Amino acid sequence: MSGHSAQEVSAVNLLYEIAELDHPEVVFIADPHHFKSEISRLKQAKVNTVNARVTSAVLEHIAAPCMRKVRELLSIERYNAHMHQHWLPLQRTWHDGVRSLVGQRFEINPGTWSNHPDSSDYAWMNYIRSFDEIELPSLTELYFSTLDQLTLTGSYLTKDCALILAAPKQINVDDQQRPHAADGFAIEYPSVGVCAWKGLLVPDHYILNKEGLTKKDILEERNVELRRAIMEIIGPERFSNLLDLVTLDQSIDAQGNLQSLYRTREKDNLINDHLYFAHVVCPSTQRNYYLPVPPHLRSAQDAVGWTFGLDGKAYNPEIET
Amino acid sequence: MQIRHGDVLLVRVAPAERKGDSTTDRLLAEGEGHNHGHVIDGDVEVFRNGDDRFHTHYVEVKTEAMLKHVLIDRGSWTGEHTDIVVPPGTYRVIKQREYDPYEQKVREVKD
Repeated sequence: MSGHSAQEVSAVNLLYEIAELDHPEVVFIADPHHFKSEISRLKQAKVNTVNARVTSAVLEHIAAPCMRKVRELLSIERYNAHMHQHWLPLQRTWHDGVRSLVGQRFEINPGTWSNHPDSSDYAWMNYIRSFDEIELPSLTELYFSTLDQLTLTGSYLTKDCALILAAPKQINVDDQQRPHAADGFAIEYPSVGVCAWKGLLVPDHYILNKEGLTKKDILEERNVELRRAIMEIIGPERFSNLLDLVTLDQSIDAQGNLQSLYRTREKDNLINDHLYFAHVVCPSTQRNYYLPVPPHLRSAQDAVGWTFGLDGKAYNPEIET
Repeated sequence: MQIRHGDVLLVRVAPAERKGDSTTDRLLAEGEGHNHGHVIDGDVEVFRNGDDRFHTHYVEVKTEAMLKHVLIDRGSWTGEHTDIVVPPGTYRVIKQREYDPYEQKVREVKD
């Protein structure tokens, strides 16, 4: 358990008051492992949560009056413009970032956490605060000041006990505000952390021991996004060197992107045959993907068509994003 | 006509090819664990093609539909794969696949 201040306890108490519940014992937890085990302990003891009740109270008494005020004062154009500028980047850091990645990494089902108070509230709070002209309802102001005090990742609430998982001690993000770190943890707690590449959860060794990545790591990675992440982490040159690829065919697709058919230089020991890959560039994200394909294909066009069950002549998308 | 949206391909086919059961679910494909999905919106009917892993759906666009890549829990754009207007017609939905050289079988691309 981490140390906490009287203000932090008051902040949690306020939420319970709004939900018409007695003040709970507030338990601050420093890392997600411990948070998960405390939740399991409460579940095993069959202690019911009040997550839904507190969330409902926050929505009714804090969010709804606040959003009514926003809608009264702002045009839809201004509302949307601020949404893109302030809300979406913060959502990438907090909701899709910290909450989602910590949940995935430590196997805490996202439905387990309370929606409020939660780190994704920071996104909402900062979005609302970005409107200078809006005078917030007093309860919303009070809730925001509690969030200022809490600095949390998430919470799990029961009638008698509020578990508060502390905020990470550090979050590193990329230019789109997604958790990301090329070296070390993207989301770091005192004793544990989460490795993330452009908002994608990746196994720790992909980042912390990237020099040790081998051909086996690439071939055993079933998830194509994670395989793509390996390539970006170690760079395309080392990626193709590890696989030791030779080019069999290249062509330009209808979008003007290079598509290639590669083969490993040496036969693979396990199957006594070469491994074949179609290499494609996503026209939308410009990301590179290497997809294993069967050995009978002879051209890059055939290989890419095969990945959609078509032969090369039949594969001809007119629109692609 | 063929329309590609990331790892999903729509191929226009003769209306007689369409099969499967009509569904109200507009999600044509979803990423594994990333809350991302390809959905089709608009004047369209979607048919689930049984348990076929690669030809997952047929869609029948009556006037016009929009293919979108969204965060499933919020419906907002992911920032990847811009929306595509899908003209009227019947389309087979094909999910991208890859080859497992060790098992010597075809498998779905997981993203």
